[in-house]
Amino acid sequence: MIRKSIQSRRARETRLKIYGITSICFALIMLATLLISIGLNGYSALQQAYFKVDISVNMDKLVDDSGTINKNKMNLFNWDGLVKSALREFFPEVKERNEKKELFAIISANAGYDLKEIVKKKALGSGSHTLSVWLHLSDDADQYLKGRLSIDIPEEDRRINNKQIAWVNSLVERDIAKLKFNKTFFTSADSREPESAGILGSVVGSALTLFVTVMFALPLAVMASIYLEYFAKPGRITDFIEVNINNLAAVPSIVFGLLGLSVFLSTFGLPRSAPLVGGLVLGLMTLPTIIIASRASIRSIPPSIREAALGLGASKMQAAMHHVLPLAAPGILTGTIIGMAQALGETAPLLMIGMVAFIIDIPTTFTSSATAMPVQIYMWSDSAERAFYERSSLAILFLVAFLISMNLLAVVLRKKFEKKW
Amino acid sequence: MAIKIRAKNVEVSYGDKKAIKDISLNIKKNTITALIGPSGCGKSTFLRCLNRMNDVIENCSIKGSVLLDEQDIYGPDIDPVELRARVGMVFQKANPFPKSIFDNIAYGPRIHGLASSDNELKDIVHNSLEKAGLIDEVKDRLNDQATGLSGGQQQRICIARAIAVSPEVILMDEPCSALDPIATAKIEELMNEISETYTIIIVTHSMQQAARVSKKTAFFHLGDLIEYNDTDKIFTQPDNEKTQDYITGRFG
Repeated sequence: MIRKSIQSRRARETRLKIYGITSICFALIMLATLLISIGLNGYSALQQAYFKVDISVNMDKLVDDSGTINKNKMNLFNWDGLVKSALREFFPEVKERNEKKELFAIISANAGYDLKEIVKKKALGSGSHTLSVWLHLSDDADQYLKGRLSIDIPEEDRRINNKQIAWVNSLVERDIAKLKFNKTFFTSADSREPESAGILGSVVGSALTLFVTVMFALPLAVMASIYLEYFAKPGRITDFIEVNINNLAAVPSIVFGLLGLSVFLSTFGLPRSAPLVGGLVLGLMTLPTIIIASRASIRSIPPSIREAALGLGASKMQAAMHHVLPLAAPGILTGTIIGMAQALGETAPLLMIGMVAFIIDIPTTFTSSATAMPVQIYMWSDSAERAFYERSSLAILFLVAFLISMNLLAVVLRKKFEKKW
Repeated sequence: MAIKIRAKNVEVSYGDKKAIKDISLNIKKNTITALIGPSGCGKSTFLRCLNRMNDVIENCSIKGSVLLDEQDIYGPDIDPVELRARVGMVFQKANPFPKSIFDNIAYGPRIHGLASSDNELKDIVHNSLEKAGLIDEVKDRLNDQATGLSGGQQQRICIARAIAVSPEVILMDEPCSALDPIATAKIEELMNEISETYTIIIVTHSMQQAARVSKKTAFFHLGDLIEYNDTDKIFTQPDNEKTQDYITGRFG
């Protein structure tokens, strides 16, 4: 009898183990599939097609009488013309107006602007200089060189025609055009032209926003949880507060966006699209998460520690601050990082407060216009250009990397602060 | 001998449940008083009334009065923080802070501002450890974690920690219940040594311990104070039958 029941029990145990392993494998495979497919889509954005032109600039035309670079003169100077005439030297056979237009379409529309920035950075002395510079090809030429633009479809349906393909190929043959590491992606903010668009603006925006979030939410949450655990008199009001904190954790994030819109923007008149407001909204959103985690962490500290402190004549506040809080810190920290990770990936509330705007400058202060990484991904995935597709994939990888490094930081900090009993 | 604590008609209830009923008890200065009785008889509750540790517990209400040096500790002008500096406590389970031995002892003096300089603080820590009979065991490792010590040492750290605030009264809530006989003997010896300067009230389940260390013994049963007398008297010819039954092991 017993032997029989043992057999069936063992079988049940084995089956349960198999179920467990299967589900873990399934989850891992799904995760791997996701990351690999995003990676395959995004890795090519690490490279960008560049072409090399030799350009001569006469600095005397661009400086003041005193010899410093004149901004006005710089802006008025026809940089586009300089690039275009250099390009035409490669293809002397192109004469006709329409053909010229087609030729100029294979280089970035921002090539002139980029050249100006390069010259500005070089801080050349007076006189005439000949520079050899690498400038972006257009996104279509870039996609063609990466093999992401199919040339099997009819010419009129293609974004790049046969003539342009021939020019690009001839540039490549002459070693004037090639794929190089896409530094722009990591050093600039958004742009209408995929080749000039980068992620730095949104990374800085996200960082500023999260800074405000943690500075706002963490102290509030810690104070609230200490109050609720140690000071609040049990009763209807405390119960009401507790229920509502739990409710808040379940409120859809877009509602917090609406709250931010009506309270922070309309009532307090804070600037639109600012990391300050985004941080406050996300802070409100993560507040309940951190409070719940902090309270659980505080409750897990043995009451004997607190009693010991009280028994020595420490006040309630001293007992909490000197003994309970340091011991609860690892748990609170974990809760905070989970909340921050949630806030980092949040898009909806940011849309409501205007952080979805197209911003070409890297934000420098908490009140300058900014966007955040998930919003940037959302905007790029919405764009028509093929080149934005690979960029949004790379940005997703970047976001995931950001999250992983945040979690690593949490683990490291936990290990550091954790006390041994 | 002078009376240190005078409890008058003390009644404690947790919500609707009465834990102790109408207890009146006078505790003499610089003696060891033992509170004995079966589990749940209210002796720990009574002990915690004496330094208002019951304040921390929700829905706990206290009636009657407790006079420390003829001053009501539940009076409006008494700060429980100041009171607990005068009436220290050692708990059933040794509960050193997860900090260094030094910091454990120095915590009380630090928060009460008892030391004006680092050297003075060191002296206080040293003296407290000496009084607690620990100094030889730990003097070379004051910076080690107190939680790494043995159970008996941890409990003596807790006693030293209580002494460091220089209280007048030390309450001990079954301080030896988790310790082996050797550690228990050390703590009892320590209690005897310090009883000249401190008023000690000890709750214990061990009647032998009460008989060994205390001068006065109070027997509690179901929230009532059944008998309070000299320890010798209680253990040789108790007045009450229940006391007789309890100390001879017929119930409890």
